[in-house]
Amino acid sequence: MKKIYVVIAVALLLPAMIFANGGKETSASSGKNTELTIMGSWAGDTASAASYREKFQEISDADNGIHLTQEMISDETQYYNKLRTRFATGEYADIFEDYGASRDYDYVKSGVLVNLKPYLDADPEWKDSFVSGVFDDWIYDDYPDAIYGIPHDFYVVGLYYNKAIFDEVGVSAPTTIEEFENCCDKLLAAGYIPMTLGEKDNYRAGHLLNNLVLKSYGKGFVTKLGNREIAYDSPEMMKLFQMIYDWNQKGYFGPNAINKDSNMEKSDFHARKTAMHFDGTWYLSAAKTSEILNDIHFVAFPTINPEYSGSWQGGNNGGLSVVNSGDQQKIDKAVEVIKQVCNSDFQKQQQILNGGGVYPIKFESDPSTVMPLSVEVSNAMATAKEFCTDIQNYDINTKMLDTVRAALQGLFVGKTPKQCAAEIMSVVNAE
Amino acid sequence: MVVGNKKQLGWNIAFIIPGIVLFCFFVLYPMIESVVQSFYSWNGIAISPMEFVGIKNYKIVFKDYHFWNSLINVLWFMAGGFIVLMPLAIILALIINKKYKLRRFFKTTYFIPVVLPITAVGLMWVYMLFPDSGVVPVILNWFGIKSPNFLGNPNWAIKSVVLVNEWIYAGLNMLIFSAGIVSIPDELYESAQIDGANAWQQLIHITLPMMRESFKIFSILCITGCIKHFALVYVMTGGGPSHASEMPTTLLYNEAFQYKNFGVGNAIGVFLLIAGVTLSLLTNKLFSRGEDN
Repeated sequence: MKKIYVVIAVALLLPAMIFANGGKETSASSGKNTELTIMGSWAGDTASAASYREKFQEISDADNGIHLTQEMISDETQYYNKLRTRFATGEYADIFEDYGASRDYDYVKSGVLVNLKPYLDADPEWKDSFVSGVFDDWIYDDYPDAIYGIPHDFYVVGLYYNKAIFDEVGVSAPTTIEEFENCCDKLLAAGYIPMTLGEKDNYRAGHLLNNLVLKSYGKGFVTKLGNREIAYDSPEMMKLFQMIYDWNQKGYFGPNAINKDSNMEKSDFHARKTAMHFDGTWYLSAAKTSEILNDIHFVAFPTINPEYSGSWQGGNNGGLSVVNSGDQQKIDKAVEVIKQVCNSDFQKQQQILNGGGVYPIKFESDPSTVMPLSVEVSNAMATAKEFCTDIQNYDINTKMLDTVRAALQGLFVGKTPKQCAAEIMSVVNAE
Repeated sequence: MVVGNKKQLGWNIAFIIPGIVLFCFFVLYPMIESVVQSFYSWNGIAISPMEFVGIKNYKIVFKDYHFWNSLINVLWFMAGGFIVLMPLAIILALIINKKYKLRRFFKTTYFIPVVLPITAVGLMWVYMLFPDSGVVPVILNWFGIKSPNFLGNPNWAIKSVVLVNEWIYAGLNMLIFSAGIVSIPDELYESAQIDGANAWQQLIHITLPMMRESFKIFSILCITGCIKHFALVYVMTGGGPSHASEMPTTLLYNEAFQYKNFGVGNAIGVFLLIAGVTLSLLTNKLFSRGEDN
């Protein structure tokens, strides 16, 4: 009989051991505090990432009725794995970071995101502190009177170059694509890699294509590409695929572009193996700590069609959205958290920590805290007339970003522009 | 087969039940859910309804030429397993079953790659295979051999990953074959020696035939492992360059977690399940038929 009691005890204990989860809170508020979870990418060692984490901790520790749990993952792939798993299981983070546009459209359509426009309208001072147009990626045609995210970062892409190498070779910063090609030829002849491309990270050629499209045809073309008025195998696009293919064949990107990732690309630039590095303003924090900082200068991506010289790749570099938990108190507190990082004071602090950069919120910069390189970027950016993020963010097919990037990678491993276009069109035709 | 009285039977069932419960919760239930979801379209958001689409997801999978390319890559893994890994593991097993001083040291050394984290091993080999500056191209260069771009060349990417995979799992399969060798009675070798058989003849006529069960275990593990292989490909090439080293599992991962097409991802998963079970049963039957003969 004693044995049977042992068996019963084990049988009862087993489910408890397997399924006990530490007594997770199911109610929105426990005691005085509203429990919130925030997911973001501020897990790295940079001063800016640390300041975000510290700020969230400060919010959590303050006597404001909020307890904030942070889930920070710096690797983009791992971040999206966790974010999407949370959405799939229904265990949403209350606040999460993303890029808006097509990436968040499914969430908007499902009704899982909170419309933040009423909160902006209720605080005109806060709303007016944002640069014009920065909310565009969180406004959707199907839901025109709503805003589903608050931007916290902004970026532009341009061309950083090593002036010391340029002076040595006798070239100057290219402003047109013809000048760029001449510059590359001379740099090659002098034994330099003109512009290393870390195409193992396939977003590099993706960004290159973005810039070629914008400088050739402008933002209006991007919209037509996205809604299929213009095809990816059109003569306009074939010309650009051919351009990337030819440049790689000539050696402009270095002999092993497909084996190098973006970190190796930056290393080549800092090691003076390559003379140019096209990147976003997020590169400024890496430039700040490089040995060649004093030699690095910035110029807009070379113009192809003068009519579109003011078309830049750029725009929001992340924003915060609130998940509709159904608990109004939680939602209100979540917006409070967002307000504390998406404001001019905090963004000004980011500029000081990064030594520059561009931001979606207006504030008075302190010139003594900004790198000369960052001033160059700001001055160049003043010529911009329109900004556009990844061109596939405006596409009706959410798969298009990865499809195009994977297809472009083929140009670096022997596939022809025609094959590249065919690969993209196979996905378009399957829609 | 349960023997003994009813009380004994009760105890036997009591001890089996936890295992069955765990199996049902963590294997059977997810498997059934996966099969069911493969007939639905779902965008990966909990509150979004799943839309029944019948076999549409399967049509999408079978029309995708990347999927068929990934099956060819699975065949490359299987070829690597049977042509490279199996002979290598047998040779290592024969080595560690000889009696000599440093036997334990070699046994441990050959097994080390198995216990290393796959991510670390994958990254290590990425740098070792790096064109021009990686250890492998440098050594090949010493011998006047122009090394290919192992991970950047679409024709070499999957083969390179396969060879790294064999390096990792040689130690594990060495143990499988070693267990088979150890179970062979010494009397057979003594009789063979008396009859004048040399080492090679003993290997061909005694060792290999008597290791039948080990070959069966290796074959089933190899086939199922190749079908569901993911980690090393993901770390070393990510399925690239340009989908050249894509596996069904990397496609499944991309469909589910990048494109939020959970239905299509599950369809690939169901295909892998059926393929794995079918091939395992066929392999088992093949070896059983051989035993009967």
